[in-house]
Amino acid sequence: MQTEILDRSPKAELRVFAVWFSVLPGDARERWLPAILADPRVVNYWDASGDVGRWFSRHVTRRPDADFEWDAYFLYPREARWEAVPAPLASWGTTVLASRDELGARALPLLGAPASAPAGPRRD
Amino acid sequence: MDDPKPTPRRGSATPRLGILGGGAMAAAAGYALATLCCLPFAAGALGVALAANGAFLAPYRLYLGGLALLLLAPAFFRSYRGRSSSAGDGAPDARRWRLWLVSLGVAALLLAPLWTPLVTSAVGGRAPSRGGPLQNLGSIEELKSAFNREAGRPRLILLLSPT
Repeated sequence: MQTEILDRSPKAELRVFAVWFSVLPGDARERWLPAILADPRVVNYWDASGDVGRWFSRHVTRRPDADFEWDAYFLYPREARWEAVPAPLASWGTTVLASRDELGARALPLLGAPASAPAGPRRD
Repeated sequence: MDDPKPTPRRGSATPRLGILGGGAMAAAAGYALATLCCLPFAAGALGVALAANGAFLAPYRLYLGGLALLLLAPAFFRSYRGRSSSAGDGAPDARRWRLWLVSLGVAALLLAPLWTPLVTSAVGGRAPSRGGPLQNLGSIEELKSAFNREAGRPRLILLLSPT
């Protein structure tokens, strides 16, 4: 994410909300590393309850096999608003790393770069 | 009179300790790679390659951890309770030493989520950080408000864990 989008578009008006929470053994707030997403456009949150992952699973992705979403991205265009749910959703994917090419292709047009992929929700 | 000395058997019904130990190490390494896919524990192309493989293995990490332990169990049984080893496993004492070394390696890999953050903190702590602090998120409403405050810009929500 850092290299695919933020470093490639240093002046783009993108806002990133990184919500961190414990999933794996050894996860803890003190193990968060600022250097992973080191960009002033990133706001890092610690979600001690893990509610955000469950909320996105229940209201956004609605995957029957996932109690919570984790290691996932959700991309929204400029006009998006969060009423009942944040919408419209331009793209989402999991894992972030496995989806990085897709994320880059969807995000760069939103940031003003030439479009290389059609916009639209991705459900996988 | 027939020669009573047994001859080494090929294709023994139970696999050799080296195969069991190697398999356990490979499975544990896969577990560690899958678990640590988000950590910047390697730089450049190597880091990307490791992370990509880790992401691929991530759904199977619990199976890999279990497989590592399952492979060690018959290795210990063979080493301590089973019949004499097949050709190539070596003397019992040396065999057991090797098995304990392999077990330590497997344990270190399975416990990697606990110790690698300390290593990466030491490395990452020296890197200049331009990002903001880690804020406590009280509720989903807080994220909603922040999201709507930034209307007019593309926004990206990431759901992540520290390891």
